[in-house]
Amino acid sequence: MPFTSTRRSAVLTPFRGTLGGARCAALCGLCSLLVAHGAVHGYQDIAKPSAPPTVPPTAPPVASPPATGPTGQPVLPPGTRVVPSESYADDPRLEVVRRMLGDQQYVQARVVGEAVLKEHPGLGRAEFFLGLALSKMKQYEQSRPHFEAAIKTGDPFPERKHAHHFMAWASYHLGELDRAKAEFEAHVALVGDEPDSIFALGIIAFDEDRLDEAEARFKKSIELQSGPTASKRDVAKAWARLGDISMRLDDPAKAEDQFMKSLALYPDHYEVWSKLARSRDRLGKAREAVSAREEEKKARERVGLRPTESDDIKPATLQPAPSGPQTPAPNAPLAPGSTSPAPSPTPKL
Amino acid sequence: MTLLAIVACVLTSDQPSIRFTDVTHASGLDAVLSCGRMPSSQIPEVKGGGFSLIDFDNDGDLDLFMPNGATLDDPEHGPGARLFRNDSTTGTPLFKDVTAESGIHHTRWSFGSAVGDVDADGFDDIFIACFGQDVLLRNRGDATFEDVSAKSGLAAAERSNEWTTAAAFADLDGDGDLDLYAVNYLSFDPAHPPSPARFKGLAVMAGPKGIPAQGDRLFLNRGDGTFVDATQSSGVGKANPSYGLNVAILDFTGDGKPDIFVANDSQKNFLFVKTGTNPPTFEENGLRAGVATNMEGLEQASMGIAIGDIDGNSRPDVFTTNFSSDTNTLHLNLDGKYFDDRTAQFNLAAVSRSLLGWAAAFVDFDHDGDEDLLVVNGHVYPQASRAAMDSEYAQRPLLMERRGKRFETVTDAGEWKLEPHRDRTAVFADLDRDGDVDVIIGELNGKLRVIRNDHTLPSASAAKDWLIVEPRDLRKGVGNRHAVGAVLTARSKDAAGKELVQRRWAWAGGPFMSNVSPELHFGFPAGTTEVTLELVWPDGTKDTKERVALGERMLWTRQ
Repeated sequence: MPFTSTRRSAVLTPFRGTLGGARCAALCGLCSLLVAHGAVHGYQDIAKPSAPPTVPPTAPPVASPPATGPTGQPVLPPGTRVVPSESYADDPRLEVVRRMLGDQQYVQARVVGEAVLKEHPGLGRAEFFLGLALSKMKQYEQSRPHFEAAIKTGDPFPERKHAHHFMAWASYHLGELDRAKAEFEAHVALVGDEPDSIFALGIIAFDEDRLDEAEARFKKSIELQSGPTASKRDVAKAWARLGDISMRLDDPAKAEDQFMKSLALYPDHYEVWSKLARSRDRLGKAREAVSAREEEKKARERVGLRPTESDDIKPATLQPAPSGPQTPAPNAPLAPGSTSPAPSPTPKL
Repeated sequence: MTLLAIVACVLTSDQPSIRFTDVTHASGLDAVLSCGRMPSSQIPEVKGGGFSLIDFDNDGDLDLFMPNGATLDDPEHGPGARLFRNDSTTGTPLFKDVTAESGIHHTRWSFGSAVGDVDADGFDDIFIACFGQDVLLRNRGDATFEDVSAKSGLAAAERSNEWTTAAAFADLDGDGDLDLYAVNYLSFDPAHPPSPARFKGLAVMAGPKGIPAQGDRLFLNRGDGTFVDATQSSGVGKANPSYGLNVAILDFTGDGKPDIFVANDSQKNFLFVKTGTNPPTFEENGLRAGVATNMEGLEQASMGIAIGDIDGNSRPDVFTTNFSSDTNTLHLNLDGKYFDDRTAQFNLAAVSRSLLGWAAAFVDFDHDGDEDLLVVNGHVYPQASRAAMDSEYAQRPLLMERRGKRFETVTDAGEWKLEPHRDRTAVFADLDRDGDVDVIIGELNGKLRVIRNDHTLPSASAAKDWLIVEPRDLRKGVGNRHAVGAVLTARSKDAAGKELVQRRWAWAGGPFMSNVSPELHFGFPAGTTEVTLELVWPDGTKDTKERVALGERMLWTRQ
């Protein structure tokens, strides 16, 4: 398999997608950052993906893998073409890996990524994709050295700057909040106000009981996604977290409103239906809470998870609210120029 | 002199506020908690088992009973249950194996156990939760036991295929005797073990998901130590069969009646709220109460249970331990009706992500007037490692000290180095009768460990800083002698005159497949004055004691 140098022709476009796993769906929009063409999750609601990087047909093969210099920069062996600073080392198989990640074929992506790295140790982009595959397999500890290596190479492959973001989530899932925070901040420093890292910093602030900061971060995340290409799903997540803050502050009425805003944007977020139900329980809206739990069940079914047992949500003393369809429109638009969802699609629950 | 004072001050400040010493060897407690073979390959082999604290000889100290496990190829004939008599002197835990002379010969694979005076004869009996028919051992009163399982009604033939993991005695119908809640797990046939599952890309043992769950049982005591199965009539049987692992019985709602919290593995936890008394009825309300799942609405693999008033609103909050790559969960009891997951608020979330937690307890280890937290940990999968599963197989106990509004991890606990183990269970009590709470920890197929709390006063002349109160109902015919359901409140003033209110519950169940101590322990910060105790007995009767002296071990009786 040739080891090639590639002109950096691709412009990274933030990818917005749904999430495969429950834990991931609850927390991270990391996949919204990754490569075009459905990488990682295979669902898009963004206007335009970018073109894939091209592989110059004239790129010469590399005889042996690059070593790493004292500064962490890759040192290519003698005979290797030295590429301009905008270029980066690549391997065509990494496009396959990227597609596999997009199709949620994480095990296969890992196998191919490891094969590429075996031939070309230290190849930054391969390290990054392998780290991502492991992270998607929830093997966070294993993923981190690969993200670290991807950063350390200095290889300017398109996704490199986002390695901080993914390493941050891995650290979060390992319970290392200080490191996660540092990596998210590093990511923001590299790419500017990136909504998902801002959102993640809000999550950490919430976990550390700094509610004012958390609220500001979530609102900023919403504000940054107010344009026409905004990811409804990511905006919905931030609204849900604002609802968490309201619940934490014992304001279930405000939380109910925020959860409904979230669900109007992204009704498949079954966790938020559960939160909506709890807010309604605390407001004494028993029938509406039951209704929300019915919707949670439907949302679980829509995303392929097993349903909640019906007797958990239909207590003998309560009957489901006799209302019509409860699911908000899946693509409820944002009001023009606003970070709030338009009032009209907000479901009557 | 001044220099000496400064040096002493520096030395003192360097010392951990919570200090333990592993005194296993000197304690004479030489036993292994057996549970299958190593490495574990099927789900019964990973649960470990529990202990019971029991004053079987009525000499005033707490002895130790271990049900013990067996192996899949011969689940009826394990190494056998053990009974250890507590012969401790002050500050020196000491145990003697008295299994042989006690008449206990129980070798069936067992997990949890419960202690209570089921026949109201003044001596505590033992229920053993088994893989197969459960067992009731009656205390004859002469430090020996007899197996009364058959006539008790607790070991009916139709239950021979049930796997009971934990149990608790409490007076569920308010008639003064002890009823039983038995927690069941799943249907496992050693002859036909399920195929392996996958976790984080690796082949691992199967379960619990994919294996049929078993429903729990509720038994009412007829008053003579025999029981009738009231699972269906009580409403408990209406709940979905679930993978139950632990139970806590106390009044969560504040209406004076016992409610039942069940920790389920990978499924929603139950909160059975008592709705009627004669006959007793319960309604499962965990989901609506907000205690069935975490704040994301996700089911967790709940195992350990700790109860404490963490937010100071005088209501019992619930802490559960869970699987790795998840968090332990603290549900604050907001108003008796609703709970809210506040794990992160108290700094208990991130710290537990790499751990798989089992037994846990809130205890004021350092006597500063608030409760600290100890969780014992260890993974179920022998393949577990930080690299493969983000979590090691052997794990350190998680010791957290309450500092202000949050809990903070303690990494230096004195002589006890918090070494990694495959821990499963623990019991917490003042074993050596020196006023602080010690710990006995059980490791999967490992030796029991006795961890002595070495709390000391700032100086020899300092006032005592603890109280231990055991409510005891000595009225004739009352089996609930330990007053399960009682609530004890200590009001005191600190050196600045600020009031400190601490509350403890006499509850049934325990840290993991074990029971809690009937002795309710309080610590008090230096300078505490004007201590008043208020005890609400299970029937609502209130008693008060004023100007209570600290450093006292009090048996608070009701005649």
